[in-house]
Amino acid sequence: MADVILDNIGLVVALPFIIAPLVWLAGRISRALVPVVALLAPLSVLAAGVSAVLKTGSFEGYTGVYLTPPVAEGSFRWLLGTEQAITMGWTIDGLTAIMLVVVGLVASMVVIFSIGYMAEDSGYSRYFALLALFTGSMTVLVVADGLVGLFVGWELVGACSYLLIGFWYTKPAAAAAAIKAFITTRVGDVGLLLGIGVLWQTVGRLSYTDVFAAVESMSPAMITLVALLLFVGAMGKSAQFPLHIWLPEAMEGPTPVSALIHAATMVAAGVFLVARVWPLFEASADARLVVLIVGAFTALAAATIALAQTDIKKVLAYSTISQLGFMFAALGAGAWVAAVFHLATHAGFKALLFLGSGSVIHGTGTQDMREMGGLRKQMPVTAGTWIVGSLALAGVPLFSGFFSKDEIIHGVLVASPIAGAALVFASLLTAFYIARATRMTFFGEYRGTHHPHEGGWSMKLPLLVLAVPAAFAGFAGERIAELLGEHAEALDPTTAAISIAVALAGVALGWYVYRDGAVAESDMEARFPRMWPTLRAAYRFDPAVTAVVVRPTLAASSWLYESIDRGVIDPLAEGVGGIARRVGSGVARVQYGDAQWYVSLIGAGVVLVLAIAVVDWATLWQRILTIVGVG
Amino acid sequence: MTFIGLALGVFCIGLYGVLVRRDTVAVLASVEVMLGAATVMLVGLSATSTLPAGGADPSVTGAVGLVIIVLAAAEASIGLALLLAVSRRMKTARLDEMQEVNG
Repeated sequence: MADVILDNIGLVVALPFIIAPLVWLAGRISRALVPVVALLAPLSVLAAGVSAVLKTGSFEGYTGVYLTPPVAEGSFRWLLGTEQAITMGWTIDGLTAIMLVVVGLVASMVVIFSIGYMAEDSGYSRYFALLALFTGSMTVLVVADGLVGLFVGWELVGACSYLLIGFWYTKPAAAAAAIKAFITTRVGDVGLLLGIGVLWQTVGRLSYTDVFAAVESMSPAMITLVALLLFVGAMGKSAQFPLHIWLPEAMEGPTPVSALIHAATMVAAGVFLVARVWPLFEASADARLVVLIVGAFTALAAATIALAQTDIKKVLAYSTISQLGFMFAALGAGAWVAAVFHLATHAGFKALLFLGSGSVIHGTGTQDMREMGGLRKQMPVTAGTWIVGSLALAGVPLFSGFFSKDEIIHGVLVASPIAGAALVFASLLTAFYIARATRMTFFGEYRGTHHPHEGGWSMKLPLLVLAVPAAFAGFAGERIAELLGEHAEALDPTTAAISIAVALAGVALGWYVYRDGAVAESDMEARFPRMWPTLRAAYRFDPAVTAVVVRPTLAASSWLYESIDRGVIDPLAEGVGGIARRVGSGVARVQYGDAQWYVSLIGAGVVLVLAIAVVDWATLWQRILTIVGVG
Repeated sequence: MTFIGLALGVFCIGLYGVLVRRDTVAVLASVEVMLGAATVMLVGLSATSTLPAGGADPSVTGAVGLVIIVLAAAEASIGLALLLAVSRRMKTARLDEMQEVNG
């Protein structure tokens, strides 16, 4: 079975793209059929991922450029007929296998969850078709054997993200958020594209094999340049400071989409990219330093912002930015196995938390935690699984997040004590804000006006399934390290002690401060009259970006429009058109419907052609000259 | 080779008629004159041809002249029938009044 799937991996990649339009067609036959067809896409990806994990052999004695001996490879030539045709293909090694499992599992659960969550929506089949399309795009991104294929997938997931954030496109905020997400990530994409361009210029080939082989012969400055340009792309996609501004607003999309795209898979693509081209970063200490600084700063700053959010999805959004910062800090510190490990565990528990928040929003009709409270009585399944997810996020021992975060903190502390301290403090804040969110949402008395209720089986099942990796994925650390071609490191007792102390302290503090739920929130507002609103407004970074970047850009473009477009290009274009029109109406006057006039013209034409072709003008001219007496 | 001059002259007379006459029947008659010029040319060539072996067979060009005469008769009858239909519809037989296109 596993062999069959891996031998036809090209088909698995193509399948979601075939399924996406079929989902849409299925919507015309029967509404019930739509999610069934859509589910085939993530399930096939999951099957490929599981097969790859099972088949991936030991890295011992393997000398190729990949992490583990690839279990499937294939390629085809693209852009034939150009001077340098590009080879595109797929390679599945341990890292790809992990990503496939993550994408397949989370996407399957999100599709099932959406059956209940989107049941009433009029865009039902469009929604599921887009989910299938996204799954395929993400698969292209992770299985690509070079930067060209990766870039194709990279842009496709960006487009799907745009379409799904703006899914409720009649809502102005959603449409604006979609555009903001697309343009902000596009700023990063320019960096990625430039990095690929520089590689193309210096190496001439873009498959990972060729690029990694060329690292040795490249100058250190060039490697740093390429690594930093690629990292700019990763910053945009993974919402790292200062390109993080799009992710909180992306929460305008349907909540299951936030779980899939903006928590588990697409935003982790930046981490995947850096891990994938790790040999480049390994060769450049400067680039790693930049990654470490950006990651640690983002992890800490976003965690502080998450403290004061009242929208449950915004808490999770800033938490995601912060956790991605943890992963980048790990990459910058060289602990890239820990980063990928955390990517996998985070995908599980953050998708769980997002789906839990979706269930809460579905049951209460609000996203404001001040209007929630006491929901554990009405929504026991959601509450139970949410608590599992939040314990994992807080890094409480034995839950998945503990193991991966501990490895990260250990790796970063070794590389840079300052960055390590920042991450430890961010962990404390993480435990605090998730305890706060849990207590405000699920404990105390219900403060809203709705009648909260649990969703149907389709919403409960994914929560229960995702609670399993959220709780136990930490024990897969050894296998994940093996898949990445390394031996697992033993838990460092000092770091573990620090992590445990920090996690428990944060949870206890948050739990204690928010014992009164929303009352505590207004209490915090009163106690920190300056800091709390600043945090809630995310340090007012957004208005600053608007003033410094957006307004000047808009002013410059409207100036260009008025002066260059209206002043120069329009008259030119209209002038050319005017000439054609005038010539045309002049010539049209000849054709006024008189058949004899037409025949006369034809006759004149024949005479002219004969005069040119038959008469020997040179000889004739000579004769005339002779007759006249000049020659 | 005088027949070439003859054919050319007849052709030009026919062309002149086609171009200047306003009466459609006269134009049609002028077309017949042009066809006559072509026939004279073919027959004349078949009689005087000195083409080397492999060239056009003189008897064939002569036969084509005969075909043209037959065709001209058929064409004249069809042309006159069409003309009849058009003049009934447009209530005129003058070519310069049969205009529907305006440039």
